[in-house]
Amino acid sequence: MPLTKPISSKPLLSVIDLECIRGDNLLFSGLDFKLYEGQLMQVEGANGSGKTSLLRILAGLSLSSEGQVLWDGKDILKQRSLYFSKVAYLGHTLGVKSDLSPVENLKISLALAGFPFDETDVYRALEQTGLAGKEDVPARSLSAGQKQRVALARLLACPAKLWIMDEPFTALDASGVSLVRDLLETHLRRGGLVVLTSHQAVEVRGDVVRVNLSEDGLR
Amino acid sequence: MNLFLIGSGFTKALLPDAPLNSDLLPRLCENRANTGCREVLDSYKINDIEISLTKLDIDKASNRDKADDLKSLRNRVENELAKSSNNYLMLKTLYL
Repeated sequence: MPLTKPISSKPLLSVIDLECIRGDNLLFSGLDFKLYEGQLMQVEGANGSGKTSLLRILAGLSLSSEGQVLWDGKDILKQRSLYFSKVAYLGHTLGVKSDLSPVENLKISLALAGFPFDETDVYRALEQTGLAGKEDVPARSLSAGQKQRVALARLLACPAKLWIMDEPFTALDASGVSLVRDLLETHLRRGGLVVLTSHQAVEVRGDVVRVNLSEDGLR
Repeated sequence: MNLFLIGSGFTKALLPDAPLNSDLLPRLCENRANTGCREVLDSYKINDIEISLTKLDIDKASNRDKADDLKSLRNRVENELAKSSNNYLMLKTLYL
């Protein structure tokens, strides 16, 4: 059932008058939105409208040409270490190293992000994403959908509050799509936030808001 | 003058006789016993130094009891790697 009110009255993620220029192209400008605990935002728009650019700005991986991104009321650029500990980014390229096993991929990601981890949690995350029995094989032997599941397990294993996901349903079969939906709903119920792009309508139970860069991107 | 070297072939461009990543660890172990590189190669049995050191870092993060020993091992490997670069002559002319 959709939530009618945010769990928290104070937005955790705020975007103020954001503008993105790539090369000579203005992708979007004047973009404002707020996201509260337990909310999911689906970013829509035509190809080339700046969806991935927006996600990278929100993840702190790219800079905007104008505007601000605030986390808990403070500019993310002024609290990068703290902000990066709150964010998990799942991009087009999954960041799954093919020479390492799923377990090793999760461990190195968590170690690099500075999250202490428990071996049990790593195996549990892989089991939850349907990779039981595949934990210790080289990732190169996995299918595209299974690699996507490794990346999803990484989200589960880390304690990030904000998930930023670029086309998370890509390459997944029906059970994979259902899995992502379950993971998202659980994350939202726990007060997590999600920003994602998807060409499909996102059928997730919870407080889902949408922004369309082609229409609201205000070019 | 600023010089930027970007892309694959970096090592060979500067040090034509140096081994590539995939052969580096066994070359560093040649005719040497009790080295950090030998210990890493024997532990992981992977020639690629990048992958071997990544696995070492994973073990370091996973085994808090052994973290200091593994950190020391990594430092030894890095020192051996740095010393090995002296064995190869750098090209005086860089072809672009």
